[in-house]
Amino acid sequence: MIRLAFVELCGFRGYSRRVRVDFASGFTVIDGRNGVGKSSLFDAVEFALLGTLEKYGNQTAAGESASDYIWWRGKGTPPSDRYVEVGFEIDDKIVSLRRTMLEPPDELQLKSVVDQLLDVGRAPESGLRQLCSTSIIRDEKIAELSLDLKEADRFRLLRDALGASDADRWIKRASDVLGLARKRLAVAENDVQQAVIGLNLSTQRVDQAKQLIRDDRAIQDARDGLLQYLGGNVPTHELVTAVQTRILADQAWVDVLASILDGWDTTDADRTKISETEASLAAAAERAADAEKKVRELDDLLSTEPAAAEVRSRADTFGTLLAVGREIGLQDGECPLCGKEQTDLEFQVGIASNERRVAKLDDTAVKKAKLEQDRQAAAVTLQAASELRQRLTIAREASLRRISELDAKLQALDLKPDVARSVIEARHLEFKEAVDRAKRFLAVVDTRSVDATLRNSLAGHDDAQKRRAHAEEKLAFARQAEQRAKLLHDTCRRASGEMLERQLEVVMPLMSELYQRLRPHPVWDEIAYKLRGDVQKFLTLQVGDELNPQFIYSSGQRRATGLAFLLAVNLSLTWNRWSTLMLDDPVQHIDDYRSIHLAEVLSKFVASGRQIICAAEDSALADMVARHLLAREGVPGKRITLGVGEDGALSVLRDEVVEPLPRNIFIDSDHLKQAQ
Amino acid sequence: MSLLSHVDDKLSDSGFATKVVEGEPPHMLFESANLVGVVLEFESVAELVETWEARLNRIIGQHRFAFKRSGPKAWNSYAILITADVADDDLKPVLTAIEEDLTGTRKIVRSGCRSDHDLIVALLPLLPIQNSPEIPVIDFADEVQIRLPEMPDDVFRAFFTDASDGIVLQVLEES
Repeated sequence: MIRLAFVELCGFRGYSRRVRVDFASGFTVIDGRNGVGKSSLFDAVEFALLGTLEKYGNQTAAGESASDYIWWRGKGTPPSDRYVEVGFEIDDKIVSLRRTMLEPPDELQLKSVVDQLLDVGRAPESGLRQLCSTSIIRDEKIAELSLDLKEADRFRLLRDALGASDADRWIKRASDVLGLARKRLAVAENDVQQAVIGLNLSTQRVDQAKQLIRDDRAIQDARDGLLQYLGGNVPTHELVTAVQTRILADQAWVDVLASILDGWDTTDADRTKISETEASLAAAAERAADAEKKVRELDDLLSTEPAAAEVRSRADTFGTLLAVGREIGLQDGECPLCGKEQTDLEFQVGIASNERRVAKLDDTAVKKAKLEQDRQAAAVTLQAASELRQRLTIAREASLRRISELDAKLQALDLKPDVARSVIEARHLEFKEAVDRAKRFLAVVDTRSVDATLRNSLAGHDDAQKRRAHAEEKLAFARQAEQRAKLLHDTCRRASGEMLERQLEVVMPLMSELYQRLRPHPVWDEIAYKLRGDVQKFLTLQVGDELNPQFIYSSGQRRATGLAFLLAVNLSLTWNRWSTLMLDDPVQHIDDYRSIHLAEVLSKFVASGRQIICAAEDSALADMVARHLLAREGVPGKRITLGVGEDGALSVLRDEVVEPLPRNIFIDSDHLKQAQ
Repeated sequence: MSLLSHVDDKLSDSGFATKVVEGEPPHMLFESANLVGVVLEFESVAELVETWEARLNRIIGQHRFAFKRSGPKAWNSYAILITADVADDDLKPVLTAIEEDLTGTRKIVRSGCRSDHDLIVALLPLLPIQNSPEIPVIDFADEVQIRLPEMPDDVFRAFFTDASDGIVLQVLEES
């Protein structure tokens, strides 16, 4: 068994300077007032092993957590170092774990200690954490982890203590497999659903293909109809081809007749209008000839004289000069225009004569302009007549072409151009009905395409059936797997519960015994621990007539009951190799009478080889506990008092070995057997 | 066989030195490495309630020198007051009150001590831990397999290994 040898701490919690506490191998009872660092010794052991302090959980306040207060942060001279070091006695050797503010313990050393503390093969995954929570029993955890615990959590605590949590791993695995099986089952069910839909569709296609298949009488009727359509006997094997050829030909005639009917009204109008168009064309040609002749005549007239604009320009220039000359008048007997010496009369006569010439010139310009306008008008007339003639020519040619084309179509049909429209319509209907009828007969007679469709449908149906069968097979597998996975999962859970029940049957007497020893209640001196629940398990505590002590016990009684449970759990840890049991102020709120009960229980623990480290606030209470614990030769006990030293720092004020008590007081050595 | 003889046997078996004193009143002394004590037997609960203090004081007087010699061990002195008579509900609190009176000695007061079990319960504070659970080691895989005889063996071979969940499922489907 492994024991706790010492705790050394510096700069940890409230300890500013180095303090070392060596524990006795039998028991150590520590006392000290509030705040002198008793709990910090317990903290140090847990912190060295886990690196955390579980008792604070995840508590935070103002952005800070317990982890911010692990290392000393008081006023005054800071500590020279910050660390905790915990020594374990393993096979008469001391192995220490040192955790500083910056560095965890040596990994190999931690592993070697943990391997000694736990039976690693049987311990649950969180074994070290559980060991700390059940071996380091703290004041604040006694009630929380015992009587006040929810029944399901109490069950889990006990289950983990018994090392049965291996089942959890398999239950989780079974749960994962079941989840996977359910997903695969859902996929398989969907596949079957899709396959059934596909099969239904293929069945519909087969039914449709089968509907196309007629009976023999219908086929014979269709064959006769086709022969009648062809107008003669044709070998059976050539019938379809011959009919298809004939249909193509007749369909062409149907198209021709349709085109005749389409253009019938237009052509009819063409025939009516053609003579009118030709008359209009002749008139337009005559108008064009007249206009052309007039243009030529005017061109002749206009080509002999200057253009009207030029004449008008001359008249204007000459007139302007005359006006200027008249305005100026004779200048020293000379004409201002020509410089010729003249008399005033000659000058006036000359001006007047020239003004007449200007007027004549102007008249000529006016006549000239009129001719030019006439010529322009004749040219416009000529152009309009030409354009009209051109349009009429095109229209006449189009009409003639349509008439010609229609006549050609009629001629091809052996019809005269004056055939009535009703004849064409009757012929068109006759051809069209014959072609349609032939197509229907052909569809009946030509079973080859029907066969192909049916064959394809049947093949598709076969595929769909195979797909469905395959999907059903996969579904059956998936369903079987899901059922088996569920069975496996349920069985794992059931086996876990039943295994625990069997184990609990073994542990239950110890729990009852510890309760009887601590005697929380004067009347209800027995307690029953009951497991209930099938899937989720609960551990129920009952006293008297199935009463729940959680709701009727006083604070001290609850703590005593809780202690009985926790001590039983600790003793039941099948994978525990750590003989040390640390109790931090376990007698708080417990009266002196029941404190003696606890001291008696602890004395039995010490007598059975367990190491007890117990802290109490009251020194008299600590003395009482120490007296009950058994100091023996080679297995000493210790009394330690913590307090504030002369330098103001937390210190060990008292460190005394508890001597074995005197023997043979009442009974001489002959009667005294080897005492416990 | 008197109750004292039975107590003698129980304590002796648990490593106590014992000595029956034939005197007035008759009693039994017992001692271990860390405690001493005296056992007194009463005919009835009523006698116990009425006479326990006088009888106990008389016995302590008889052994006053031994108590004086015991030094700190005297702090761990016990008085066991027992009777085979069964206490009625009215007297039970009285017995409890005697027991909770820590003056002088730690007192264990029990009525109705008629069987071996009754005596063990009465002497429990002095006896070693009676129950030492030996939790049976149970193979979980075996437990599950026993409960599922119809399940193919391949399933267990796949399930209780590190095979992936997919492989386990495949075995569940195919086997």
